[in-house]
Amino acid sequence: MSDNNEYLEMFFAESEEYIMVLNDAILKLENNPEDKEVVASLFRAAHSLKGMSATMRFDVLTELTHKIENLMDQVRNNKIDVTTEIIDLLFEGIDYIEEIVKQIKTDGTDNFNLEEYLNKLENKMKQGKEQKVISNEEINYDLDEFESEIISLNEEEKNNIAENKKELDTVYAVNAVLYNGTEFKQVRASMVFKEAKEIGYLFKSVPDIREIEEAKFENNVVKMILISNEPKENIINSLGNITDVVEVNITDIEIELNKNKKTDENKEKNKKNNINKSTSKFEVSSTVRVGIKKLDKLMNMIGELLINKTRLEALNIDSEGFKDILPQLDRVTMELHHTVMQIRMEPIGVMFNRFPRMVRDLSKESQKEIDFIIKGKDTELDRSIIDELGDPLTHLLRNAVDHGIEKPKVRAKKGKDKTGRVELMAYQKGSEIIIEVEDDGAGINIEKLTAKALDKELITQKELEEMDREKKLQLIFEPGLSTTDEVSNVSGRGVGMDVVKRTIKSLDGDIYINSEKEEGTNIIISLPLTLAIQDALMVKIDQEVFAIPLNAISETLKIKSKEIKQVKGNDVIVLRDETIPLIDSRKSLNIEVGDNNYIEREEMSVVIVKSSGKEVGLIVNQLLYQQEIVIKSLSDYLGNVKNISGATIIGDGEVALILDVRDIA
Amino acid sequence: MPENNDIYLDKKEKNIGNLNQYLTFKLEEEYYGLQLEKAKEIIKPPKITNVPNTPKHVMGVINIRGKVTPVIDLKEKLGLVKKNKNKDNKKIIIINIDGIMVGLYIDDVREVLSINTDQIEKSTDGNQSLEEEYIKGVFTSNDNLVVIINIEEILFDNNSLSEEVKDT
Repeated sequence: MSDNNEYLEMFFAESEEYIMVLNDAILKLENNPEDKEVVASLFRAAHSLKGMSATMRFDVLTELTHKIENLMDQVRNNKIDVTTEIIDLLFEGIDYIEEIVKQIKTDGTDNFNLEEYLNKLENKMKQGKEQKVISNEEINYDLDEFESEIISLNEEEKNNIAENKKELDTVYAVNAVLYNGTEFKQVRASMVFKEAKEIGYLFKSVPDIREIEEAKFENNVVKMILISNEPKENIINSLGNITDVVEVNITDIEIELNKNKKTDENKEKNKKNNINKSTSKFEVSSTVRVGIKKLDKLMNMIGELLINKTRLEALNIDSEGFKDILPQLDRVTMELHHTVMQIRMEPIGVMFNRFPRMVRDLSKESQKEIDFIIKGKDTELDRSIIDELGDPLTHLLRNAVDHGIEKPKVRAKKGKDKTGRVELMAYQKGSEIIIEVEDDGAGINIEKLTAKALDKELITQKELEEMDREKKLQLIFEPGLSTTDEVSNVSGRGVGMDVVKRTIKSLDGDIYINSEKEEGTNIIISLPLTLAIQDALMVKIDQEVFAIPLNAISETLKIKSKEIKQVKGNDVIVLRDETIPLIDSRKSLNIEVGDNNYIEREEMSVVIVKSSGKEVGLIVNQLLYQQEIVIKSLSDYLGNVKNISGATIIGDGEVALILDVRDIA
Repeated sequence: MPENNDIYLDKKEKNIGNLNQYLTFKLEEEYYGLQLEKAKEIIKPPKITNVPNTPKHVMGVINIRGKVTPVIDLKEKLGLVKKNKNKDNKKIIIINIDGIMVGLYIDDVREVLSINTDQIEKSTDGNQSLEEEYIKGVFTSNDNLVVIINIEEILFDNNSLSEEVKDT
């Protein structure tokens, strides 16, 4: 059973995909009940899911998906109209599927009491069921001929057979016919394979093992080429003993192997059959499924490579060969890095797809009318970042629906369109990915927010007076602040905006909020394209080297002390008519400044960084150079350190810290 | 102990019968011991990168084969007076506690001793300047009193950064 794990993993990955397809399709169906394409895709997804669960012997899941498939079949044959009731029933079914898959993940069983739901489904179908479904007939046409026809082989395969065959072996073409009405075709076929493998060497089969696992298997005949030293009778007996195998046909094809004219014709015919089947069901793509852990490992190794390359460069050996090789090494490492990064990228749509369903349910529950728009599904992002974004985005969207959008009556009173708009967009901007969640709801009540912040002693009155509107809004990300007094059962799961912010920050991203009363709220999340490796500017602060990620920097400049102006007692510089506050980086890092104030220096190096959505000038001792850095965590022992987001290893093998400028202002 | 080479600890024959192996080291003029299995290696201190906004006993971080490893000034953490300024013999013992690597900055490494469990006394007679919960026991070797420290308690007690560590 050691293979089982691998199959299970495949099962999980694929069932999740199918659940997504199902959810998506049902949503489409709700808006478009007549769309036959959608019904067909629903039917196919349910069917495939059923096939998979049967192969894995999850009987409850098999039954559930089978019933859903049947329901879809009735819809497909116009026996049942798509009503809201049907849609809800379908959604409920998908939820059960999800639950069951979750349970399989935790304890490996699909024990689940579905009786009530299955009865509901059953009743619904009875209402529509007048004639018996005859879809089986369609598949069976021409069956007799197909059953007796043996597998065809090409030249290469024939040669292979000759190589694999031992002296006493015979080459058989075996056709095992399964009972037409069997519920567990995939399972039975797998059993046939298993048995065949025990009898001898299973050279080829139609369908092949993969097709069965993926439920690309429509006929009820399993055709095999079997090389074995067992006599015909034994083979017929062993295979015939398998449940639901109704007939076993066996032919000795050794003679035929030598004269091949006839089989070529068969091949043509069979090929056509196969093509028709596969194109009508699935698109076969040449992709490989790889675990994210393997990719992580690969990325780590490239990180190590990069560090060592940097160290090598620092050696700066005075030799022709050395200077020749370095640029080459540089190019290969960069390309390698780039390629792996590409592999790790996935369209963000895979995660966005879960939201339409959620927004629909939420708006139904809270009796709001919402037009939910998703833009930029194709925007690609590092897979590990996508995985982490699910929860924060769920929270933001729940907030938008729950606290943002008003009820239709209220909206009408305000003179707004009765239907609220919630928009989720993703796009790339430079080396960052931006995700926006926008609604045209009530907006955030700043007075209420600041009052609460004062009440909870998160800020002092004096601090409040110094804050501008924008800064006040960002208070919403402080722990313990939620503007609604009553917590609804929808968004009140104990997760606050502070958790959202923390998650985004842990991804090395940033989040800020804009809101106009009665106009709506706009939340902007910016994220790095990838986590592991970044471009950074190396600077010297005091005696230590620090890295500042390039995506946080807008520019660097040198200023003279006389250019420094004072606003409200703070040092600022004016850059292109913008007033930019200056910050001594040593102060942010708690490095003792002593009397050596930067003001006394003749010329200063300033890095203009984006901090909390604003620009700030960070004074450093020296600008060093630009470099690709491999981001490492600062060690679990130290936990979160203020203004430090991580560490990297520089040329001499020493550790340099990465400056977190997002909160430095 | 060899002076220049870093030492990789070979622990093939640890803990035979009732014998436990301890790595002993010096802080000022006092001797301390640590269960050998906790220690991974002993290195001569490289340049330590200072980490701002951390407690005083965190000296900074070093690179141990690509892993960023914090270095703790054990004397500072234990509240001992620091007189020994001689840098020549200073070492860093890299320990691994539940997968978390930490370096302990100490004055010098002595030796590895196999001590029978019944040679270890629980009581310290209140002679020690250390807090009670930091001590696992004491034993005598060559007329020297060796204090076995409870490194988990020292590193992860409440004054430390235990909360953040648990969070992650």
